[in-house]
Amino acid sequence: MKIGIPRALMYHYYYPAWQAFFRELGLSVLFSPETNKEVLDQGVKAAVDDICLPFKVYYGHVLSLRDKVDCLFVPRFISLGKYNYICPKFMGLPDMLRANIEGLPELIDPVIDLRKGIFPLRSLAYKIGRRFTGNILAIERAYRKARASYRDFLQKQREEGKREGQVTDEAASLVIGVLGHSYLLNDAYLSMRILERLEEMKARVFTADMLEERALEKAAWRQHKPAFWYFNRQIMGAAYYLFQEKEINGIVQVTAFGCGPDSLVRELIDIKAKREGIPVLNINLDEHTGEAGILTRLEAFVDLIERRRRKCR
Amino acid sequence: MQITFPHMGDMAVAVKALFQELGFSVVVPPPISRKTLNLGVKYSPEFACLPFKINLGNFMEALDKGADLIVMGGGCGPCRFGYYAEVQREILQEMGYEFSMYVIEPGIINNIRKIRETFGPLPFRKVVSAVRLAWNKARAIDEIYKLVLEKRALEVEEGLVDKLYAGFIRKIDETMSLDEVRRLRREYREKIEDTSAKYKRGIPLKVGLVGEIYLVLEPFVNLEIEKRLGQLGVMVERDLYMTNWLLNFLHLRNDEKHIRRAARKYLGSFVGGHGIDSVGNTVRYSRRGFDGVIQLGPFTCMPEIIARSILPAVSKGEGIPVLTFFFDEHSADAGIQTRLEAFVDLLERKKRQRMKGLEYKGEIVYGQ
Repeated sequence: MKIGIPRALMYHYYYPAWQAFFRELGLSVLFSPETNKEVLDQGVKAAVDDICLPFKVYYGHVLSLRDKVDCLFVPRFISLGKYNYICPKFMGLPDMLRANIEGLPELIDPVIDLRKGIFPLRSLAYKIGRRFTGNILAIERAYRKARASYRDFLQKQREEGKREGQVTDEAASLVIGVLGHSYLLNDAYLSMRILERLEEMKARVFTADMLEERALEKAAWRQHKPAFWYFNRQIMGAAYYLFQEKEINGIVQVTAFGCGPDSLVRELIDIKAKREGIPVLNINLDEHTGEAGILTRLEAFVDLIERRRRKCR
Repeated sequence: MQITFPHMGDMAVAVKALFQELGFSVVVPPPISRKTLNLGVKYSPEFACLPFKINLGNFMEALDKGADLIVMGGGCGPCRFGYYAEVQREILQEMGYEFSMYVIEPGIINNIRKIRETFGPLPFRKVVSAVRLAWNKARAIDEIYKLVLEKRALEVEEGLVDKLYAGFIRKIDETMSLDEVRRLRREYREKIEDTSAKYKRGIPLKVGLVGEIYLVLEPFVNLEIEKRLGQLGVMVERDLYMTNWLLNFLHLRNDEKHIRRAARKYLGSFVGGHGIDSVGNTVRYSRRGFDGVIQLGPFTCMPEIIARSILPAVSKGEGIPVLTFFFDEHSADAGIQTRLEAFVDLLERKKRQRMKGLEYKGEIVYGQ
């Protein structure tokens, strides 16, 4: 049996766990191809106009998998922690796909709601696993394997954050925080490789993924009422953490057109950065964003903060 | 202490009565106008939804008039509204306004403590009488407005019902006595019922209104869509009323149960805001034999986008035409009017054919 996993949205946070889990259950896992123009175009056509860019792309990925797999893994995310939610579009995602795309294979859409702690995760794994095998031991094994590979994945990301910047010469020690959802930043086509480009410009880049979750949560509480969307809370925490703990030279905020939570949280980070005197570059991505435009703005921004730093000295 | 709060439809009448009866002075923001919108748009984040911008405009105008305490709703998601107050406070502070803000967050005990801190000790009897007055005003307004939505399609003379309703709101705003509120409610109920003649279109057409609560309740932002429908000879019904929302919020009524059941086939989870209500109520209106459903929402509204994605399937499955409008600061009269007229014409044609015993052959429109 072949299970398809679209390479978009939550894939970027959880794919090691999903892959390990389904492989261990004896399924063959098929990821959709990396985002490209065709995927994007298909998605834009299938989704309603008003929805945000990452969801349009998700539609595209689903379409590219539609005829190749027996079932699709599209979990219904509701909450990822005790006192928070995620963007409501995740809650309606399986239903939206069913309403908008014809000829879908069977959707595996477990409800993921961790408001009552993380214990439901195991029973969730059993519920999913029971569809494919009667062997409870095999499910337990798959669950453990998934958990282990997810922890490895997190570990690797955190180590990235602790790594010292490669200081080759004086100019190479620019520190820039890049704030945005992982499903944008880690999608090379959508984000136009912003992270790599900044590194090519010899900047040391920090993203929310690279920082300890506990530190982020603590930093987010510097806001009177931290955002209640899980990922935006992390982004907010990352911003405030970086303002305080690291000597950063600038912040690049990457948001998608039509993103609801970003529209408000971005404003708060803007205000705080202004008070701290840290320059901010806001990049808003949509299906028409051109690569040249992004590159020019990034270069200009890096030039600006370099000149500013030289002046200060 | 000068209290202010955001506008939403005719809510100001009841909220004003509540605070005045408690003995506070109230600064009602000037009625929402082009100026309010422009102020809000100028200082809000570009992609914030429309209610955010209008609220901010309201606050700025009220603060300019001397208010110093803003009372605002809160919440903990997943709809953006729960985070409005936090961002608005930061923006207003950044602009240099001096004020304090009381945000109504969920949780009874917390609120009682916070109310005491903000407003000082309040005698229990005073609270009861103030709440009773405000509640009766709100109920009266909602009841009369429900009638207005129906009778506009039947009025003898164009605009008569609206004239009566405006008079009713003015009178109910002035009075502070409970008996007078009850009397006005009876009086205007009769007056408005007396305006009925015959259907403007010759046949009764009924449309259900669903969507995001602010856009449905506030005529300025939805470009008076209910009035337009009334002028076109369509009766409008909706489940979204301020009092209705409050009853559900306080668990004194449970519409959610019916809505969830009706929506289950199409949407299996709540999605924040009024997303599931839009889907569930469309199904319910269709079962009650309505001729069509219109969905309203602000541009980029997350719950309504989900509903809007699913409504085409509902439209096909239940056989009811659905029209969606997303509003932002650039929405204009002409575009809305044309689409409404076309939609209503289609509903009429469909209904006449069905009355003749012919099944409607044309494609059912949905979306857009």
